[in-house]
Amino acid sequence: MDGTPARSEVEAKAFAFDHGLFGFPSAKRFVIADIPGGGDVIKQMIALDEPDLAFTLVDPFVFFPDYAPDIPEADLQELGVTGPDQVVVMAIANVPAAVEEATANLKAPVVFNPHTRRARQVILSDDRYTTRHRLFPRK
Amino acid sequence: MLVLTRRINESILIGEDIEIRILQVRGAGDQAVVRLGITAPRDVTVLRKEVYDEVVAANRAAARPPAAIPPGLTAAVKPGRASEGEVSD
Repeated sequence: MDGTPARSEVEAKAFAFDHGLFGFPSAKRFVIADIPGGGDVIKQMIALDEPDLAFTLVDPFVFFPDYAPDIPEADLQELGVTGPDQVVVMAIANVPAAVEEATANLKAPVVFNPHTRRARQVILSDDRYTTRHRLFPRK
Repeated sequence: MLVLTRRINESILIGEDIEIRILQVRGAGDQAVVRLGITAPRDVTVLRKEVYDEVVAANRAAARPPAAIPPGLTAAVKPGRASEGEVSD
């Protein structure tokens, strides 16, 4: 991304969260932005409707290769998903100043459909997953 | 809050398509456990409330101002390689 894109351009790229995020029901539009050095693995998700609200996203399958979220069919339908190429799953990370303590929320991943530009956070019924999985195992 | 008394195998309806049936009650007092059977359309999310509360708390704890992500995170992902830029402000 070069320079500062016009706001209309940013909004065109926004993902619509019809239900907001859990705890942030009025945050209904987010844009995904790169963070330096983050590549496709670490992104940030910035709210358009709430001032100064953003979340760190991580590709959960890079940090947790065995992660197997079972996204309910009803959620996929709501996002207008018609094929496996229309689903991108990311996890919200909680990154404290002591980065080695960072955790990812595998219990409630964020599911994006880049084709319909719709997204939602889904709470999995799978009890193997919690809201706090360490990104970097203790040494 | 609406309070209703029900017997085993009796139900309540919420709207026309959400049914909650009392399946089993065991124990008494603070140790009492109630087993519920819930029938709801697929687009209705049914959750234990503590799970919902935990996700809300996790989201609140993870919220940051934009770009306030410690630069060390990306360095930690690629050990031995510094992140390509500093994140400031």
